[in-house]
Order: sequence, then structure tokens, then C-alpha cells
Amino acid sequence: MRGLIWVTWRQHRWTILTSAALTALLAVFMVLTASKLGSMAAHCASPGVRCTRAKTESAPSHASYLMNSVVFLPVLVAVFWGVPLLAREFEQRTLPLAWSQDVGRQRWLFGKTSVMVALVGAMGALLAGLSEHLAYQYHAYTRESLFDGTQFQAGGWLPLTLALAWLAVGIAAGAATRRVLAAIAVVGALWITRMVVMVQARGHFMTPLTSMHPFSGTGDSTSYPNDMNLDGGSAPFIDTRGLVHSAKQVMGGWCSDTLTDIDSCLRDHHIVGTISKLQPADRMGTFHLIENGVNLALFVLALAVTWWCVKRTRTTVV
Amino acid sequence: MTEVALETKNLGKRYKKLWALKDFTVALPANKVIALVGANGAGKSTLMSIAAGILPATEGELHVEGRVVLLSQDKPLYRSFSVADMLDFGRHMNAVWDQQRALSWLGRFGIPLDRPCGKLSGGQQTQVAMAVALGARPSLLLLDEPLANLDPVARREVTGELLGEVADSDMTVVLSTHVVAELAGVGDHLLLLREGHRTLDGDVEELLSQHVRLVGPRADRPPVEGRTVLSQHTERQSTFVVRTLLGPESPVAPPWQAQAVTLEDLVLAYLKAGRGEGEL
Repeated sequence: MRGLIWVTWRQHRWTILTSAALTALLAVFMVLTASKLGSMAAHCASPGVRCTRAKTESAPSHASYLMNSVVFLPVLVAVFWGVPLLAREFEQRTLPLAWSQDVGRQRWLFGKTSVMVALVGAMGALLAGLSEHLAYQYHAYTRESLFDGTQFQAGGWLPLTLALAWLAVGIAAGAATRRVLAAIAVVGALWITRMVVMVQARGHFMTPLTSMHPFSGTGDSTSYPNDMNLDGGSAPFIDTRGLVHSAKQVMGGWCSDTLTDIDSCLRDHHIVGTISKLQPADRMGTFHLIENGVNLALFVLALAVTWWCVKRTRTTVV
Repeated sequence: MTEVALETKNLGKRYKKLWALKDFTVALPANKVIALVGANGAGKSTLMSIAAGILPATEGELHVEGRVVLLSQDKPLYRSFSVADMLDFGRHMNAVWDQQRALSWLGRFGIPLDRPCGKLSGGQQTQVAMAVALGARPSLLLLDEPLANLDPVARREVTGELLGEVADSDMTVVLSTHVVAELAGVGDHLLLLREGHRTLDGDVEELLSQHVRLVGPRADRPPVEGRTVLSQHTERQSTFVVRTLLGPESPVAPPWQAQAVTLEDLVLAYLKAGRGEGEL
């Protein structure tokens, strides 16, 4: 194994060093930003202090960039770590050399993949831990739900399992296509597909609940639940008789006149609240588990594809 | 009894419907340089890859004594690695490694250790690949057309050094080629393949002493008993290459002449015969 560690280091040292430097840089920025957000949230919680809590301020804005970076890093792991492992060796025709030494092809694959999984795992674990902390501080200041969008994907160790899964996907794409550029194209297409599918599927891992939110008329509420709202900005409205009206009918029809006061328009039509579909906050841990499970299943599947490709690879000509 | 370096029994390898090797039975002697000859597609690389364990056989048996190292025909190296890194690669990837032997080989050809492999000439890359192969201390070194990109002088030097390595150790070298000119003065033993089958196999000196070229007036049959390998005819003259017990010593009546064949003549005769050339 020591030999394979040396070979992996010698072949991929610039990728490893660059990734380590990038990880350190992101870690420092995340610690600083989380600390600043924590201070801002504590200040806003002081009695008599009113805060704008705007996401556009510099600290929450930086936090948002950092969380998005961590969420998208796995595709870079696939491209710069996973793809070259086999595709570059195929292109440079060096596999017959590597596989004809005492270390056969299966030990070679197992050894090099293990080294990469360990390194990506260590860097991923650090960033996943910090991004979860940052998401909590972001939520504490902005009151954005931890169950929504980037905050959800930055938490629950998802960046770690996603990085491992996409490392394996990159390796498998390289093994299947045997060309670096083709493998990168495959990884890109799969990443976009995954994003589209997960955005649609994530809200339906479990049957959503329906909840009625009455218009209190008291202004700012004191509770900020971490629910996942599935209606976006188009939750239907409900009137005093219990009838449901679509957002289009209410906001695009009855109250579309910009000169009309929205509140009085809603009162005129006896609208008393909204009906929303949501995933409650207490399901967030389960949802993280489900998505981590999907990532780990993808990791195992991609490694199985790689194993099969390597096993059937001919390194000779007739 | 001669020790055997590699033995096969009814070995076969099929790629879809094409048999690259079929019913292949052979026993190659140890501590020799064995010339493995055949046209492109004869099955040389397939045989070597099976022997090296990187290609599974479809059928049959293969036994090899000791460690096997294959140097494939494109002599792959990591282009970004320095020559010294390549030796480290060999040391890390093999259970047995002889650094001194590898360094000694590179020293003989003046290869700089600190230069990246990608910046070496084709001939220098061949020497680095040879050094990595020899450093692994193989009992059986399989060289799959390795000398193709060397000039004739360098080729002669390499083969000379290889013979020295074989003499100084218990290593067996199988040198595969389809360039017949590469063979001169190299092989102790000849194994000729054609379309996945063994055509000729034996000690080079013995084979040369068993074959004769007969030149004389046009005739349908050679003037001696034996197996006719090749017959070529012009309007007035016939030439036969015949495998016979006495070889060049075969008595023939004038105007027939019996001539010894060279290794190149012998190989070419069998290769031509296989392609149906030179026969009426």
C-alpha cells in the first residue's frame, strides 16, 4: 500500500496540493464569516435592537457564496480528481506498464482509489463541518430556513458524501470513456441532470404536510421555523368560507391593480390566510439521511461500474 | 534434461469470433534468448500478455517458472516522471527490485537520471523501459517488439547487453518481432507463429543444420528426401528450401547445389510458405 500511496502522490501531487490550499482558504473564510454572523445575530437578539437582517449585507452575502462554493465543489472533485485517475492513463497508454508490475490492476485500482477517497474524505469532512456551522449562523442572522436551498445542502454532512460520490462518478466516467475531455463532458451532463432531478425530488422524499397560515395583522412574527416551503411564492389563498383561491386568481386577478392596497383588496374578498404545502423542520434530519444515502448509493454504483470497466479492459493488441 | 521457462498445453485465446491463439502447445527452454517471430496478427502479443498474466486465456494451460515481466511494444512511461522517478515507480510497484541492476543498465547507455521521460528521445525511452523491466529481476522477461525505434547500432548494442544479462543470471528472454533483420545473432531458440499456431520451434543451430537451400534446373520436386518448406520457380531454374536430416550436408548430384540457410532465410521461407508465396 505504501507503494501505491507514493505513486498516487507522485502522479497527482499538484491536484492534492492545490485542493489542500483551496480547502484551507475556504476553511479560514468560513470560520471568519461564521464568527461575524454569530456576532451580528447576538447583537440583533439584544433587547431594543432592531436589525434589517438583509441577506445583501456583506457577511450573509459572503456566507451565501461560501456555502454555494462548498455545494458545487464536488463537481470539481469529479473533474480534477476522479476523471484523470483512469482516463489520463488510458490516453497516455500507461496502464499496461502499471498493471504488468507485481501490483496487479485490481490492487492498483483499489489502492489509488482508497488514497483519493481518504484525501477527499478528510478535506470534505472539514468543509462539511464548517459549512454546517456557517449555515446555522446564517440562519440565526437572516432567519432563512435551514431546510431550504443552499442551507440544506450545506448541512447534514451532505458536502462530504456528495464529494465522495462525485469522485467515484469522475473515476467511472474516465474508465468508461477512456478520454479526459469526454469524461468531463459526461460528468457535466450528469451533474446538471442531478441538480434538476434533486430540485424536483427533494421536496417529495416524504409526503408533504398542508398548513394554513392566517394573516395575523400583527406584523413581525417571533417564530422562524425551519420548514421547507414547497409552494415558493405561489401558495393558494383561503377565504372565510373555507374556499381556496389560487395565487394567480388573487394576486394576478382581483388584486392585480397596482393602485389597490393589497390588504384592503384581500379583506374585500374575505381572504384570511394562505394554504401551504411544506416539509416540517423536524423532518430535516431524515431528509439529510435520505440524501446522504442517495449519495453513498451513487458512490458504490460508480465504483462498481469502474471495477467492471477495469476488469474487462484489454491492455494488449492481437 | 533442459529446464523449462514457459510451457503451454492447448492454449487458446478468442476475441469474439477470431481465434488469436489456438491449440498452442510449446515448452520454451530456460536461460536462453528466445526469438518469437510471426507476421502482424500472428498471436505474439496475445501469447506474451497471457504469459504476463494481464490477459486471461480462453482455454488451455500455461505454466511459468518465477517472476514474469512484460515490456509491451509501445514501451509506456510516465512522461512527467524523471528517469529516477521511474526507477522509484518500479521499486514501489514490485515485491522484488534490483536498483543497482537498473542503474547499471541506464549507465551503460548514458541516460540522465534527472530528465523527465517525456523529454527523452525514443531510443532513450526504450532504455528507461528496459531498466525498469530488468530492475524487477524477472525470471522471464517478455519483450514485445521493443527495438523497433532503435537505429541498427543501438539495436545491436541492446541485444548484446541483453545476452550479457542472460549469461550473468538465470533469466530467460523472449524477444518478439516481425522484423526479421532484428534476429541476427540474438536468439538461441526460435519460435515461429502463424495465425495463432506454432509453425516452427527449436534450437536455432539445430534448425539451421536441418534446413538446406537447393538450387538447380527447373523441377517439380527437390532432389533430396525431406519436407519441402518453400519452392520457387523461374522458367529455367527451381529453388527449394527443404527440411532434411543432413541439412546443408545433403549430397546432391550436379548441376544441383546445396547451400546453408541463414536464420533470416529460414524465417522468411516459413513466413512466405504460410502466405502461399513461391509455390506452384
